[in-house]
Amino acid sequence: MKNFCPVKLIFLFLLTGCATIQKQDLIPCNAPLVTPSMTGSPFSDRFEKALFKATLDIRKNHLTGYMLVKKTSDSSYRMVFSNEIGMTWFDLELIGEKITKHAVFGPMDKKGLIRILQQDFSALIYNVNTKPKPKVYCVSPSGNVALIGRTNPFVGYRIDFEKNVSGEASRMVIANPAIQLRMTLNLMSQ
Amino acid sequence: MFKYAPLLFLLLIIIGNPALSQKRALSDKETALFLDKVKEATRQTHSIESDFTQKKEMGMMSETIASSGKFFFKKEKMLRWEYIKPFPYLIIINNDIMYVVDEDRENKVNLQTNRVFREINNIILGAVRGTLLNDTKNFKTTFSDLGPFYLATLFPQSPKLKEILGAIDIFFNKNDFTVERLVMREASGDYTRIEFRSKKLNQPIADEKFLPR
Repeated sequence: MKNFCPVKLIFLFLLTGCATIQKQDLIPCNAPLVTPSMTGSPFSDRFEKALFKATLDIRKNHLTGYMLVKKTSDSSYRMVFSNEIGMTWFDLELIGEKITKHAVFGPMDKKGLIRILQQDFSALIYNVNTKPKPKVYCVSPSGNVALIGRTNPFVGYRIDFEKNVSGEASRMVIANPAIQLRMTLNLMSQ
Repeated sequence: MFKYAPLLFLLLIIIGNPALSQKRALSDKETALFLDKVKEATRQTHSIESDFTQKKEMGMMSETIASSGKFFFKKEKMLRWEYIKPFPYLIIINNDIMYVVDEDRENKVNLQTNRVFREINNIILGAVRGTLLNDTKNFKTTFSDLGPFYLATLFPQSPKLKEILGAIDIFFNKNDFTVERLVMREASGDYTRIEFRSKKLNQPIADEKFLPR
C-alpha cells in the first residue's frame, strides 16, 4: 500500500468508466451447462496449432501480421505474433495461467500490457475454464457466443467467437476497452 | 516506434542470409573490387521488377510462415514492396511520401517532415541502390565469397536496429551483382529469408505503379 495514491485511483476509475465493455447486443444464453465447445472455440482438446491473420490495435497503434498459436505441452501454449515482413512483435508462452516472455518488441514490453495479454490469451484458450471464470453471453442476432470477464476491477475483456458454417469459430475478436486494445484473429490454417 | 518497426525490418530484408559453410572472407583488395562492381551495376540499373518468396523460420516452434509477392524499384526514389499471398500488404516509397496499406487502412507519411521515417527511407533506398554497403556509420559490414554468391553481412550499430535484428546477409549474384537472396536474423535465432526470382532489369515501369491502389 506504500504506492497507493487516491488521486491516481480516482483518475483511473474515471478513465475506465468512460471505456466500458459493450453489452447492448448480449443476452443470457439458455444453456443448462456452459462448456468451451458451446462458444465454438477452436482451442479444443484436439487443438495442436493454428495460424491466424491478426491485427492488434492499441491506442493509436495499428499492428498487423500473423499469429501462430501452438500447443507446446498438455498445459502450455505458445503465441507468436509477427508482422508481414517477418519481424516478431511478441513471442509469449502461456503455461497454465502464467505467461513467459520469449521475445517482445521493445515498445510493447510493458508489464501492464503483458499482464493484459496474459488475461486475454488465458480466456481465449482456456475459455470458460479460465480463472476468474468469465460470464458467457449469446450475441443477438448472430447467435454467436461472447465471454466477458476481468481480472481486476478496472480492466475487463470481451471475447467474441464468430462461428463459421461448421460451428467452429474462424474469427475471434478480443476487446479491452480500458486500454483501447482490440485484437482480431482470422483463422488461416490449422 | 510501432509504426517504424515494419520499415526497419523491411530494410533488413532488402539488404540480407544464414551463414554458409564454404565461405571465404574477401581480402581488402577483393572487397574494394566487389564494391566497385556493385557500384557500377547500381549505376546501370534504372529499374528492377522481381517476384519474391519469403519464409519466416521459427526454430523453437519448428514452423515456417510463407508469403510471396512482387517487388518494383525505379530510380531514384521509388519502391513498391507488395505482398500478394497469403493476403495483400503493401509498402510504397514515392520520393518523399511513404504509404503502408493493409486490408483495413492506408497510412501516408511525409518523409520530409518525419525524421525517423526519412532516415529509414534513406537506408531502404540505400540498400536497393547499393550505397548502404558503404554506410559505415550505421552498419559494420563483412564481405565473403560463397562460391556462387558474394555475401555481405551487415551488423546494425544503432540500438534501435539492434533491438530488431542481429544481422542481415545479402547474397549478390556474381554475374550481374544484383541481390539474389536476403536473410535477416533475429536475436532469438528466428530468421526471415527472401528469395528474388524472375528479375527484370531496366524494363519500363509506369510511375503509377508507385501509388497505392
